Amino acid sequence: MKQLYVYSILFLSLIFSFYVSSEVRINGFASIVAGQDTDDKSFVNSPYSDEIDFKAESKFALQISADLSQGLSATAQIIARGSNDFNAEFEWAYLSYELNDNHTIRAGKLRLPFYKYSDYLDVGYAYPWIRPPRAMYSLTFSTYEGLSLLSNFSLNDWDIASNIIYGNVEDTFFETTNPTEGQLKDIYGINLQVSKDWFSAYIAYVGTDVFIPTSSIETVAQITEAVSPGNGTQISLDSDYGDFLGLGFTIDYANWLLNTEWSQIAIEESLTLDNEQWYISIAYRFDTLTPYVSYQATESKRKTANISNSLLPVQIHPAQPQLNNFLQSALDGQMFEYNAYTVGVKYDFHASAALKFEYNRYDDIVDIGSLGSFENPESSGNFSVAIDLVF
Amino acid sequence: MMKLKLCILPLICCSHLTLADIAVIVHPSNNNLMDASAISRLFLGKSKKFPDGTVAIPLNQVEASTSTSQFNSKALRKSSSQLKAYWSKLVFTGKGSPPKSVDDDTAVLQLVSSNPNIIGYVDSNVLTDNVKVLTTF
Repeated sequence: MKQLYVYSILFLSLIFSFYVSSEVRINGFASIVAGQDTDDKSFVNSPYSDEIDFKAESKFALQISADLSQGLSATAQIIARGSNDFNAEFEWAYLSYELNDNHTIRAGKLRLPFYKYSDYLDVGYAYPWIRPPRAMYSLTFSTYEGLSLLSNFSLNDWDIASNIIYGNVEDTFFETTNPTEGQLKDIYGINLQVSKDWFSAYIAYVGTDVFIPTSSIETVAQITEAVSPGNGTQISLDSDYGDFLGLGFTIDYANWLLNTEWSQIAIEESLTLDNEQWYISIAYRFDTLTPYVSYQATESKRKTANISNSLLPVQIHPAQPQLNNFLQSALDGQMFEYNAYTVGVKYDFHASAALKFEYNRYDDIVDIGSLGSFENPESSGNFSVAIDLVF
Repeated sequence: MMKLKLCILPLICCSHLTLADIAVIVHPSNNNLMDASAISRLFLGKSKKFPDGTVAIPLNQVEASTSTSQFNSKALRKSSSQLKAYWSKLVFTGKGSPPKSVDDDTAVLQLVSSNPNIIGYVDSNVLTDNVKVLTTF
């Protein structure tokens, strides 16, 4: 709320002080999504249960942008999400300055350019699905505070666009399992996109120092430090380098629309596993109806603990396992793998609105079930209906 | 003979109605030559200048205008919802905004004939000598 207030003051004062020479545009978008899981054992990656819910993914957003002439503009996007009790929060708030025809610099609160649909993640109207494939779009934070340099070039008939970013992220991480205030310091990255006619492709790399003192990992770090002094830091998320690599392409030919993306996330020297995820989606436009099918999958890669074979003291663990074995089970407990099939249809029933139906079948496949999840894989179907609009 | 004429007449009328061309127009003093792809790039915000380097201001008509739907499908090759989705991607990321819209052909003719930077489109039946046709679709 405080954040909202500060940004509001900044933004309003900007708009009004330049009002005489500026042009203010207001745009908005909204999505009303209702969903219900088919199984009562709700799937961990689904925000729904077996009772119908209208709130989890619904949202309203307003965007105000003021053109202050001579290439300077201010933009703010305020979103009220159902998942946040429809409290309005600033999703974007930035100044942008056109250096020349090819380069624009932006400063403020901006979107991290991880994925193809990152920039308009919330604008349901802009993509065929009700939500981008969850396995792929798995990172729970999406904005940073800092700088961005947008560049555009054309070479023969190819359009080349890049976004180079630098800044910081402060957010609550592991919100559903173990909410922890953390930071991504010195986050930097580049997203490079090329497109021509019906083809477009991108590659993105983002690197950062990860500082998330989450209690479950910290406890293991303290045990490690006690057994093998100096090695606790190999467990903690204490400014460890983490990176993201993503790539994908889109073919939008005649009435066919094919999308595929792949990404990999890794954090060095920590009690975390590297993850890999991808999806493919094909849609066909019959005038106002666009049916689509998708397949998505994500999996973590097994990591071997190799710090010390010293035994844990009996006060910590009565069975006195070797430290490596203890760490291995902590790592294996994080193993996960799931995939999902999606069928859906988008109906453009109005010039500014679309109605969508979607069915997802999520299947949990766990390689190593050290925490019992192998015995108990969670799977579920989910039905969702959405109305997306832009105004 | 009479019969034949009667047969052809409705054909001519119909084809005239459905195939009314869309003319892309600029100020008579604007000497740029542009093909369909260059015009489409301007109206999609992918380029902002005429080939000679002067600033180009593309001018749309409101969605309800028949010229707009003709131009969208023939020149831009997109349906109105595809275009809306296209622009919402740019608008909500601060990367661009659609060209300004005016009500009808008359408004386009008037603005184009008074400003060498403006490029617009009208039904080819309403053309006047105050504007120059770049191409028709």
